[in-house]
Amino acid sequence: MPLDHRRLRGPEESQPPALWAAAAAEDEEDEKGAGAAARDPCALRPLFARAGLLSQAQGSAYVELGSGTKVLCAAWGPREAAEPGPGRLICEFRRAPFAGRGARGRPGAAAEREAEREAAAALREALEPAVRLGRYPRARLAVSALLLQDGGSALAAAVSAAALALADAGVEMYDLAVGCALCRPPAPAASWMLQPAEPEERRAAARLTLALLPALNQVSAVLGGGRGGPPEDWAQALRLGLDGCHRQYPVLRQSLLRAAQRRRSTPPS
Amino acid sequence: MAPPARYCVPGERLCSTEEATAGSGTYTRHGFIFSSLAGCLERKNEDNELPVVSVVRDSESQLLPNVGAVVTCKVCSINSRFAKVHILYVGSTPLKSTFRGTIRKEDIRATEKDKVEVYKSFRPSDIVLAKVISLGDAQSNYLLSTAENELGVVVARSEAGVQMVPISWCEMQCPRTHTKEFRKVARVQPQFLQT
Amino acid sequence: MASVVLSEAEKLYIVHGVQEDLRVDGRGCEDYRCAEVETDVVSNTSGSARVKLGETDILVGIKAEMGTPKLEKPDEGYLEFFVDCSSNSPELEGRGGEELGTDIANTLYRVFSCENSVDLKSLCINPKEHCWVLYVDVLLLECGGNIFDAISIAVKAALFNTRIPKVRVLEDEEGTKEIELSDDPYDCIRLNVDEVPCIVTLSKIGYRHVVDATLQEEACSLASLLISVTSKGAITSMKKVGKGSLDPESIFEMMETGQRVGKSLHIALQKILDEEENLGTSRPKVGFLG
Repeated sequence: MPLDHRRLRGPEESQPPALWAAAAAEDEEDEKGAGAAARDPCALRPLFARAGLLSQAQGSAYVELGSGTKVLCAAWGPREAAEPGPGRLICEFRRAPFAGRGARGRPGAAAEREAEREAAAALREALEPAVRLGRYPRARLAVSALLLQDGGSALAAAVSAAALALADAGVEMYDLAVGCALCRPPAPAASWMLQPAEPEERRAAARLTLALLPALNQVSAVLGGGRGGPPEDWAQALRLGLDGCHRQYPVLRQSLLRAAQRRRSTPPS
Repeated sequence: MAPPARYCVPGERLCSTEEATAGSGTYTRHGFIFSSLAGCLERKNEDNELPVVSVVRDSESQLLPNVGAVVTCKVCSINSRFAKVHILYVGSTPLKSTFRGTIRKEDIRATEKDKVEVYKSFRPSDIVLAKVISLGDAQSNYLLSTAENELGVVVARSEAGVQMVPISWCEMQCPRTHTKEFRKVARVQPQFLQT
Repeated sequence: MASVVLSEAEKLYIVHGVQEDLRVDGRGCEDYRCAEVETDVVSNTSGSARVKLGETDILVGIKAEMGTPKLEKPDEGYLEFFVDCSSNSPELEGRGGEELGTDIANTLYRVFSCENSVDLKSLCINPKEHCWVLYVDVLLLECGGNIFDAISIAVKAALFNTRIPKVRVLEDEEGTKEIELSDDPYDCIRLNVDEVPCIVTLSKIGYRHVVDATLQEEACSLASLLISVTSKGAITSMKKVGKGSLDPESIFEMMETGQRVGKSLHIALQKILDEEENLGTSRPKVGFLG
């Protein structure tokens, strides 16, 4: 017999139990946090990148970080745009409904959409300087990033993946873009840490996401905030982050070269 | 055996501008040539000149119709002022996605522009060679022109559905019914004919 | 964003001028335009301020309303930002204005995300049940460049001006709570705005950077850096905006400049606000007539 939902009236508002069980969870996390603090702040997480894996998109890339962040990106080359003028880059950032920890977010909820739109704008700012938009008058390029699992540093991973996808689609670019995130743990004298995991990121006192065009040595995105600090402190974070970007670059480059070779050896039918 | 091909990614420095000239898929900055594509490096030596360095991909998928390019298009609708077309090829390269273009009445012929009538020049489903004259503004899309002898209709079907044969610069004839229809006929140059 | 179209020659003129530390309106690279600040301009709000920075004209109204605290922070009130920039410029009507509005609002959320920028605990009435929510509404009346800085100055001035009525929580024997509003309308809490940051936008023009760019200068700049600075000179957030990129060295320089300029901006603003405050009711109200 089908359940009559009208008779089982739950409360009008409901709250995730995780919030009320927070005290117990916190201890466990602190232990984890202690382990994380022991992590070398300059250490990068293992990075896996692969370009050209989707057959239906013109260009695609997948980036996975050791902390569990998984991002899939697809890019499409020039298509007709309604407005004249120089080319436009259209970015999209989506989180899979199951991407986050805890309860499943309702896709399409206002807050969710807002966050996605902000991330998409940040993605566009980070990629625009890298793409030769002047070569695509009256056309639009599209790139869409799908966050499959959020393990921290999601936006940074999306920037790297989106740049790979665009390059894989054969879009003319000045350079790749490499993203890197940092955070400062809440402890007063804590130093900045590269590529925070999700719990670290959530509890951080300050966060920073950078994007670097490695060959040109230009910073294409700086986005961060949190507890105030003197400029030297942020400058130090910036240096650490840029160094992190430089160190990730060879892996990303390799993946793209491999994709280019694969394309060459198996010509499209 | 040829040396193994060198692959490069966007932003990779290839050589200085003194050693070579920048070809397609590259850009120059601060006196150096950089790659702007992920692809295979190609170096072409022309006699006595600097070699041309370019980065190529197998399919030139990213081509856009630019001003001056000769494009192949298909007419989708006509009215008394202009014909609307879909651009299918730029030169000999097929486009991945279709771009819309407009051939205005005054751009159909080079002479006697005031006597031109759109319906005596094109019909929907004709295949037309045209040249891009402008990328257009907010209202229109790519503006095309057929005001050259070599440009105009190359393939057209009669009302009977048979491919017609050009018989003059403004007429085509159906081989089955022998009816004549008006078109702005292109004089196709022999080097463009492919068999 | 509202923008002007400049010819190459005009751009070159501005860029060369900036190179010589001489801008079109006679300012140096680190000088602000003359700013007018007036608080308490709209009487229906808990606090309001109007800031004119050159051509840019911003009106901020803050309304304090009672709400329930957020689940994650049961003992704190919170701020809500809304930016409306559709009013006067035809370019900002519809979608474009909406996007810019959410963009600015998101920036404000980030600037105020630092836990001690406003003492949110003082906005709590009783934990988990009632708190004050400050709705900060920003109206962009006229856009003449550097809107972010002008908005942050106006928000700080309006927060300084905000008066929240005092309430008491009465609990009877059965545990039911009642909220009682103070009878005296002058009995109110004020916010401490010492830690409220201001945004300093540094626009990269040529090889140098300028603060408080006009619309013409913004048209010459490909990338700028927004930095929010507290009165003590601590940087609480930063963001790159624009189509271009920046080299790392210039970011370091920009942060130094931003801190220096931000500190003096805070001192000047606080001085004005205190002066205005001391005038009390004798202050001649200028409002929209001036």
